[in-house]
Amino acid sequence: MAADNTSPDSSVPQQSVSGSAGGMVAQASTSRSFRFSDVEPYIFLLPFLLTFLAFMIGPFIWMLYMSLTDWVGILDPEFVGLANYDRMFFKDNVFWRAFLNNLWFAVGAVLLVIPFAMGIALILNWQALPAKPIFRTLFFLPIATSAAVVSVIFANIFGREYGIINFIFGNFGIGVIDWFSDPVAIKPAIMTLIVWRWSALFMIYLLAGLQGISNEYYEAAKVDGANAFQSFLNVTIPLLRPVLVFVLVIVTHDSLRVFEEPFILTRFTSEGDAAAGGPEDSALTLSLYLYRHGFLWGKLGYGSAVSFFIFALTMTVAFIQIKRLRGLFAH
Amino acid sequence: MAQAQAEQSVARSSRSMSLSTLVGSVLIYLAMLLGLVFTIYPFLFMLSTSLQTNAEIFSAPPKLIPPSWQFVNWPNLFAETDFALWFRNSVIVVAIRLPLSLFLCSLGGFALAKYQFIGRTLVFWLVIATIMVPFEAIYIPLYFIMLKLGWLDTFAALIVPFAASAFGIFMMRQYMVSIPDEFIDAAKVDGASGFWIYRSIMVPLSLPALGAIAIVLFLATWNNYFWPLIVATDRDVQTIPLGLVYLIDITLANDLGLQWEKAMVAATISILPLLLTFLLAQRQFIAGLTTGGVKGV
Repeated sequence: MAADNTSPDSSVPQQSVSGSAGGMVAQASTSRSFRFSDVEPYIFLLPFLLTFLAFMIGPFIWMLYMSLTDWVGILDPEFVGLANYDRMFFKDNVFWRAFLNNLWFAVGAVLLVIPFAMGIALILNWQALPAKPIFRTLFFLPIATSAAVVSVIFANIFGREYGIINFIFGNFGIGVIDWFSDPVAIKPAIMTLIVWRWSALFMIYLLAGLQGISNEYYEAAKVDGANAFQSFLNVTIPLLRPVLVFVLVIVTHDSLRVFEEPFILTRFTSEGDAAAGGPEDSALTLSLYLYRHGFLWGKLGYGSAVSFFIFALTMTVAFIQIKRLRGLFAH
Repeated sequence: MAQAQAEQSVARSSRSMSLSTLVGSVLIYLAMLLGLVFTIYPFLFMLSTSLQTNAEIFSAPPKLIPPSWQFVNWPNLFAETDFALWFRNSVIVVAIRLPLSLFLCSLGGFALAKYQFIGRTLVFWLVIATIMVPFEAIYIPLYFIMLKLGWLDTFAALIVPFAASAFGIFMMRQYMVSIPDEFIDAAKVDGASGFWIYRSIMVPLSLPALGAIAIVLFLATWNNYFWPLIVATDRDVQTIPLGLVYLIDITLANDLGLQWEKAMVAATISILPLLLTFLLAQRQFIAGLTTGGVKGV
């Protein structure tokens, strides 16, 4: 293998984004200059690039512009500067309610999904566990489901009269809860769905990370007299840091834009699209708010402003998280 | 004396150590059991509900064992709803999108990985930057583009916008970078064209990456609900998630009644392809999800 590392683009990262022990991580390699026809790379890139520009970059730029207009889909858009943002931040309480709801879900997701996924990953990584492939498959099943499927199932599980949850609650004397009509109860119901559905995916990341930790570390810890809990704290967590940060970033990112779970649970257990968002908008998330204003009510300009906010919010939070919890991306 | 005492205390502590490991094991098994019940219950519920009648479903207490095994629900799903159509549509969308995306991403990834050209870094960073952009940011204009192109209610709207997957091209590029240049040099010496190299060297060598990407895209496309919701209002192109939610749409209760039992049959069927893929290609599945690691489209 040629030893000269003549990489003109030294800023180009050579490894994949994930820090976990995956099978597809590209090792640092040399880039060489191929003088085929000089046009070839452009031709090869063209199909992708055209589609990408037309359906990804284009809409994004259009969204930026649209957010500064008051377009409603018909007639001509009229440039209104930052009026949409002004209205969004200063004149609409519902927006702030949606924002707070998202924060609630984000905190809940981080505090529930990650430990739960971690717990399962630890169990699956446990030496003494028999029939690992079977259990791994079972715990992994939720990934194969679509949000639609699961939301439908959970709509029934949390059903007021016939759901299993209320059945159990009734038997334990807690009493029946109207999960979908009660502004306070609906959030935990949606949260349960989210935890159920997301844990499997993040469990996979954590499990891959755990399996990448060599046994030597644990043995060294044991020699030093550490018990299980101590070795978890001082060996597992530090070594798992990149994966944990990655999981944290993705969980937060996804919960700041969560849509399908609250949408299906609130829309289909009540009176249709207008109800999407739950009783008194207690389950309204930013993306539901976006759907309502931008799509249902056709206020494309305002909707674009909201979608820009969602974009800016998720990107900023992710950026801050990565910055402050460095050691994530191996460049 | 001190020695004997020391030995006794060691003996005692090793006995209590195995007791605590035993307790630890029991606790772990207990925790796992709880986790398992929590994870599996919805699936059991789904399966069980698919074999009950509407009346049985809506009767307290909820039963996990179907009282009267309504196997007839399964053929009824096909007979009384458009499920076959939804299934066909989902298959069509996946069958076209996957090869299309794999082609675009592998060809583009090849260019990014093995060629030097002006704009290479720009494109690469552009792709990376967009991987985390939420769909919420672009779907309104994207919807409008579909409208303008007349693609609403067509398969094109469900397939083409997602053909250029940033995740896909990123993974392909990363993987191809690790393919030794020697293979390409040898072919170059023989006067091979870039496309021949792509077709006969890069693609065969990239099969693991292609497989992993295919699985992730399959997962995202098959389960996609939101986008089809807004662009596919015509029954003819609706996919499984849409149809499933439609079956229990409370606002259409007058129309068909809430068909939970059939919805559960549909749910069970919709999981099967993904389940099968996972069982057959577990490692690819996990590799696809853990590297690059992006959920969704």
